[in-house]
Amino acid sequence: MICKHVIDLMPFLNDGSLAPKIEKEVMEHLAVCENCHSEYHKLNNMIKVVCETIMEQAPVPGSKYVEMVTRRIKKKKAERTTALWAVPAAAAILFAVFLGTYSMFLGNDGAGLMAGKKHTNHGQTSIVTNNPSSEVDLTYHSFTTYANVSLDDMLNSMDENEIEALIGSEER
Amino acid sequence: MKAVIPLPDEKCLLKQEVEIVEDIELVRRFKKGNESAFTEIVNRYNKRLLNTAKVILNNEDDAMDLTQEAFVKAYFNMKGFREDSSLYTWLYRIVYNLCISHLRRKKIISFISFDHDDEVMEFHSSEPGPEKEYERKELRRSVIKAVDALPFKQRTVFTLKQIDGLTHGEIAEIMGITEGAVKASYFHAIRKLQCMLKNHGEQYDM
Repeated sequence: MICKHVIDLMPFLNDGSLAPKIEKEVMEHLAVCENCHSEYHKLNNMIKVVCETIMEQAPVPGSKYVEMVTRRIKKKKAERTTALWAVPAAAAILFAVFLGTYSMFLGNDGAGLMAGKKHTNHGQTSIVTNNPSSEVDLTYHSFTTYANVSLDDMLNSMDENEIEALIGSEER
Repeated sequence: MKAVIPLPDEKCLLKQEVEIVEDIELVRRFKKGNESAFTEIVNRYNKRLLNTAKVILNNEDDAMDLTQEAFVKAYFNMKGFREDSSLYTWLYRIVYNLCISHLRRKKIISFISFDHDDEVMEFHSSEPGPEKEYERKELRRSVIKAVDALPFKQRTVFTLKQIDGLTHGEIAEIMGITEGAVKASYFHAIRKLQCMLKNHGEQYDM
């Protein structure tokens, strides 16, 4: 083995990364080559000095290190516990807000949906209205959805002009 | 002439084996709900992890913060730890990944400046004279400068191998690279250190 190869392989001596046969050849070379032996000696000393310097600079964890880690763990646990109920709670709040908004948007129709079902069960004709006194609302909603007011009740509460307007709009 | 080849420290290897067994036992105890087992793990590895993180980050405060974060991660992810690998490799990997993320966030992964010139630390020696003392301080400064000037991967590989005593396989596992890449990084690290410290070759038999 030539000196150049030995010098290249020196950093890996005794760390198990060289094949036994190669390692044996390198060591045999070191035993007879003064120059390579000197290089190997310098390399080991350099590594030793570098490691010593790094270790001299090594930070000390300190007596409160474990305490700090424990504190962080407790904080994270608390955050996780909060997350456990916060997600369902947030979902419930969102759902409630959605329901509220939906009800407001529909006005009385929201209630009418359920009342309408009940009314249908009785087999009566039904009609929807947000405002029974309004001709526009009455005609607009009459064919769109179920209602909470029976036709008979509604007709009884209307005057003749309103009834005519309603019949006229249905015919149109 | 006979070459002086350092032999592996058998006691050290034995100690390491015992330590691995104890690590696994500590993990099992912790998984069964024994919190003090985790405290033992922190006490056992905080110094080594802190030093490695400091070398990688070149910042003690960040190293302190990130290693603590690493232990918190380990605490909450211990159930996912497979007992067929070693605890310290697993812990090192958590620290290494946190360091990488930190450096990427700071965008300083390519170069970390050297700023320890004002610090004064002594080499332990038997009452050196003023000239010798000056030389040693100079050597120390040069060594730190040389280590800091190493590319990030080479510095990490050198530290994990020489300071932490990990094998190429373990380092590869921690850094997520091949063993070949670990060897190449180590080889280049050695060559660069030799090149940067060649002026100090005569000091302390270097």
